[in-house]
Amino acid sequence: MRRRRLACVAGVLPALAVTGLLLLALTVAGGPALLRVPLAVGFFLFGPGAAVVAWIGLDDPITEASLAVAVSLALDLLVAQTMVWFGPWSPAGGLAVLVGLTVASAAVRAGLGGPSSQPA
Amino acid sequence: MLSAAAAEGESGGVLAPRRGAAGPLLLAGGAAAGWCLFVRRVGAGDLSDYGLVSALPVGSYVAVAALMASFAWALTRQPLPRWLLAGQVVALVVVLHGVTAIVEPLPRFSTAWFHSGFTEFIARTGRTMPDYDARFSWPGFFALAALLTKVAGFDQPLVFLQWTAVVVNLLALLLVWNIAGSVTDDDRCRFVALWVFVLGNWIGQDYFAPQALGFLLLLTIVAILLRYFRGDGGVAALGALVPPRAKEAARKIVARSPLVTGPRPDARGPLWAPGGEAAPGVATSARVALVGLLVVLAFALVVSHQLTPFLLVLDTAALAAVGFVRLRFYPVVVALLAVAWLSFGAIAFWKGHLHDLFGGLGNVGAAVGASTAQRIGTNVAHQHVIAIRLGLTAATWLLAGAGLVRRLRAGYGPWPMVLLAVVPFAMLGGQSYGGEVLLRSQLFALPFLAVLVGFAFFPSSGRGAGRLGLAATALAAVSAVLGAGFLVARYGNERFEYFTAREKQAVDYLYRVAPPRSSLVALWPTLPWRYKLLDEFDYPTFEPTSVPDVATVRRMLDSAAPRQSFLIFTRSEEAWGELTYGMPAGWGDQLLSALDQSGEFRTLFANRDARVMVLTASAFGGGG
Repeated sequence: MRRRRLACVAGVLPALAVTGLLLLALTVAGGPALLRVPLAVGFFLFGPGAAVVAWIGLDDPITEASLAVAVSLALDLLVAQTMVWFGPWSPAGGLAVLVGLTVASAAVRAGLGGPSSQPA
Repeated sequence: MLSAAAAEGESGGVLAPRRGAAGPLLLAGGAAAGWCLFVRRVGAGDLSDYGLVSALPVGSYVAVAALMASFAWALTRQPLPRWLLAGQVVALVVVLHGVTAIVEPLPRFSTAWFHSGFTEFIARTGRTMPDYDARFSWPGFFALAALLTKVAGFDQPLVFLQWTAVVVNLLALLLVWNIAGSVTDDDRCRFVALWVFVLGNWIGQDYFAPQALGFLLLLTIVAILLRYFRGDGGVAALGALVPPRAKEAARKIVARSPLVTGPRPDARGPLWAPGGEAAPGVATSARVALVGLLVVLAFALVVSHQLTPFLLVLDTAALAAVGFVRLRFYPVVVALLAVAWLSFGAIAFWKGHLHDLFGGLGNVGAAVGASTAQRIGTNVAHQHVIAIRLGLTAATWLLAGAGLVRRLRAGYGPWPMVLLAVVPFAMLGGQSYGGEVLLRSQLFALPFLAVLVGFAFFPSSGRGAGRLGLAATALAAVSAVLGAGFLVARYGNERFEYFTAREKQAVDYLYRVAPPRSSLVALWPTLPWRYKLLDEFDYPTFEPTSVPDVATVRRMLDSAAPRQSFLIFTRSEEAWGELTYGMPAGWGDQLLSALDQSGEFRTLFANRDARVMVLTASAFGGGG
């Protein structure tokens, strides 16, 4: 029985990539917190995870969404933790890595037309 | 959209007549509007010894009751109004978990402020201080928060504290939905599971803390395992382990159970089968990717929280051992990661705290004792709050038990839920974790208990209209009781967990005026401090168990000499003394008068809610 797909992670990915770019620009330029807080929360919760999960092709949008959140948090955490352990502490740099991942994933999907999701 | 017949997947039941959702929608809308209208700012003086519950206006309670009624009503509608139900669950999260963000002026709960301090340190310096506190040896959450804080344009994360609980609970709802889907495809039951999870999460480990992140990560891992790596071998093997006569006896007991009405279970499927959505057919490459992600999630968990990785090992090992899940190597991987981190990454903690970690091994009595008895104070209202928490826990378990029986009667065995509800309590044999193990065990059991409670009301789809109405009415009644209990259990300590702007003014005064390396002294840590500059000051607390006298206070301020000491005493500290140690009402004002009259103390800052004082003999006091 085929389930009609609701808005799924792959569909939101371009929007998340744009959010990430906006956020990076605002962070580097030092923009107002009123704008940066919602963008930051939205991107950190969904962006990097969506970049990864969109490629897996899961069957259920709610599973995809919740996995995207967990993977986002894990990737954000690992980037932050790596900076604490090894590298220079550069929030803008860490953000650039995460945004880069999201933008690259979105770009490649847009370019390729993306692998189609698996039928339920 | 699935046809109604297919939606009645488990029974292939008759199509029910259409019943519109306009009524519940209107009621829910009215409830939401009413709540927004009635809810207003709460002052510290409005709080009683039972906390927030006495400070909220009656109109808001009526609105919440209407919301609960509208949810139960919506569950009886055909076809099931999923968007309305989802909206009602979200509204419940806001009303229960977001109320303090709306009615209180500042973030609550001093530990959250302390975590802000860890975050601010990393955000400022890019390092951790593992020798400062055990939590810093698991810095993952704080590093993540520090990155988010700086990117959002702040130096410390206070702006995020008040809404963390709402966000965490909303994210958890997605996971509970998934987890419920592994043992049922009846959306009514799944929505009840979400509802009961929200009501049952009075435990309060969803604030700005590593535990909240750990909870979400663990649930995500378990949900993925249950959905994509389901094993069936164990189910049949489990059945084979039980002798046929025992199985028959169990079947008879279940059939005669007084909780169950209706037709006897027919042979719809093996009694021990978990039910639920058929394991989805995803490609092997997808499964490989998922395994990779599960390891990444495990690694993030291992560096973020001390306790949760071991619970994950217990959960996944139990699931694999019984055969509910196929990935047998996964618990081993998690265990190796956790032990590796403990050995190499968390050395500072390990050196100083070996006894704390393993001293409680096997000593269940100490763990339970520390969890219950030692946390009970001598204030009567406070003891009532504790009793209500225990009562809510017992009620959840009883309802879950009833749900298990009803589900068995319907012909399915939701055993993964039972297993995962019980396994967290194995932690009681591990360590006492500062006396909080019982609470955390209940937290990790809650999502699975909530699914079982869902079965208590809707054990299978395909019920007649009358049955739906009865179940819905029962649910509304139970919700009202659980909801009232929630507000007392969660916010019963509000007198010392709520902070006023005036208290923060005193803290900020201290931060402005105190020279680096000063000693900032409080009686207990229940005030809005330590949210920044953890490395610049000492923050000793002398934690008296009875009203301190002038000599004790003087000794405390002397102890850091020749460094300057400052005493900060707030309304919330006074409340802690009253509620935890039964100190008489107004004892704080009496203490302050005594200090004033002694002539040994000089007040540097005073407002209605807080005082900052120094010894007159010290540099800031004008002497020395």
